[in-house]
Amino acid sequence: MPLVGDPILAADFPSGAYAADDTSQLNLSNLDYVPGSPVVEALFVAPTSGQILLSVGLSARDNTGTNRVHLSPEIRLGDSDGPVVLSANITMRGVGTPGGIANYVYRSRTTVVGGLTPGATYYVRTLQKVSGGSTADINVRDLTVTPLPLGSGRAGELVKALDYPPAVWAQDTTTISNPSNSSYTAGSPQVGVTFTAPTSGRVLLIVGGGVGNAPGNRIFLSPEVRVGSASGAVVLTPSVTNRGFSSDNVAVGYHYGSRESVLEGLTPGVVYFARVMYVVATSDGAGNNADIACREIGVVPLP
Amino acid sequence: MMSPGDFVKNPPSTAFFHDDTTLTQFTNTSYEVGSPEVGVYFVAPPSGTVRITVGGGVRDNGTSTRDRVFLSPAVYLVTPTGLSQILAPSVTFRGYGGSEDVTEFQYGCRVSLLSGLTPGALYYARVMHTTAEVSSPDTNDTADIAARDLIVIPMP
Repeated sequence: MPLVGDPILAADFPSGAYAADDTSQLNLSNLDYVPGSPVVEALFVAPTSGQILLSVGLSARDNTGTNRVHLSPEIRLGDSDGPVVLSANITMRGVGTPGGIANYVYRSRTTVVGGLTPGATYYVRTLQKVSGGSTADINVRDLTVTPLPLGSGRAGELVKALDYPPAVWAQDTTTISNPSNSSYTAGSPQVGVTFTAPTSGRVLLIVGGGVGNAPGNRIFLSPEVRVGSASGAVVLTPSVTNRGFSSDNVAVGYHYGSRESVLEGLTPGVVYFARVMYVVATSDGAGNNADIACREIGVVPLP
Repeated sequence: MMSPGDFVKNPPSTAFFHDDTTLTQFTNTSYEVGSPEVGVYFVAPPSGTVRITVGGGVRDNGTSTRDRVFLSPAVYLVTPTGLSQILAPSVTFRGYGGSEDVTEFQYGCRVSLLSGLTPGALYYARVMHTTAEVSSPDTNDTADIAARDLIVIPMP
């Protein structure tokens, strides 16, 4: 992360990485993670910040059953034989289908990974498994690595510390069973982050997690932003339509994903508090059967 | 990517567009723009790579012969004579797609990197939508969209 007076180095802004493959894999039955064929993999160099956005996407279905497909990222140091620094974990990092869907759906999940060693080369790949049976199919797998901070230095200008505040990330995997609240609540524990608005006044908001687990009323995960703390003035009220992630009303199991949006007009240098709120769409009239497996929020300064 | 000793080049800004106009009962089985059009102009950064997020909320709440709904990005080079398409809309690698079994709006997104753009050139990206009929012909056009998102972030 460049600080005031620091020269900008190439290592502050390494390239991103992207890999995708649409080789169909039919009638999968592995309950443990395998890479699949071909392997969807990439190498990347960790930036000075040690932070990246890690996105995985898939297209999958079960055309004769209700099994789910899970696709999770794994990171190793150096190369494909290196030590694992981030294990595949569907609840915390993966994307998945809800089960009970006969045709391919397309979706992704983005999480913030920190603590990488600046300048080190890492190997990342997708690993896949199914929740059961032998009828689930994968159509597409993809992987995106976005080094942080976003953007690069401003030509001819001194870099200000405020140009590149760090990305922040919070996640909790406490199970919340059969919530019934028809207005947004922060829940327990609260999943929130404190961040400083960058010079641009703009941030990327990421909310997601794992929801579903039974057909019924949908669960929405949406971001709320306040000034300073959880008791500060509201800057952004939660809205699933505009910024939230939701469960599928037919989900027979947990499914995983995220949604991204841009929030602008923040005052540079001001400290804000953002948290993920949840609500049950009781107006669906289908019963409070769904659960929450994971809630998460990321705030990433934008150029 | 910059190399040691390079001069820092100006990064273009992030471009984004979000609209929550509900599109109801749409019937198209090839990609259309919709109204309002969810599109942004952006300048390709020195790397020639951008990160594209497409998302929103989709459903088909019909009682039978429901459709999947796809939201996919199309990208054009802006030329003196108009837009020249460089990325056709396709759900496979870059789109967001719902299930015909989901009868209430489901919200999410898809992320990808697009490389090979000409640094400094002006581009236009927009979200296009289509239904994918599960049973054809579909006699019950009940697909809806609650929101459409597009975010284009220049990559170093």
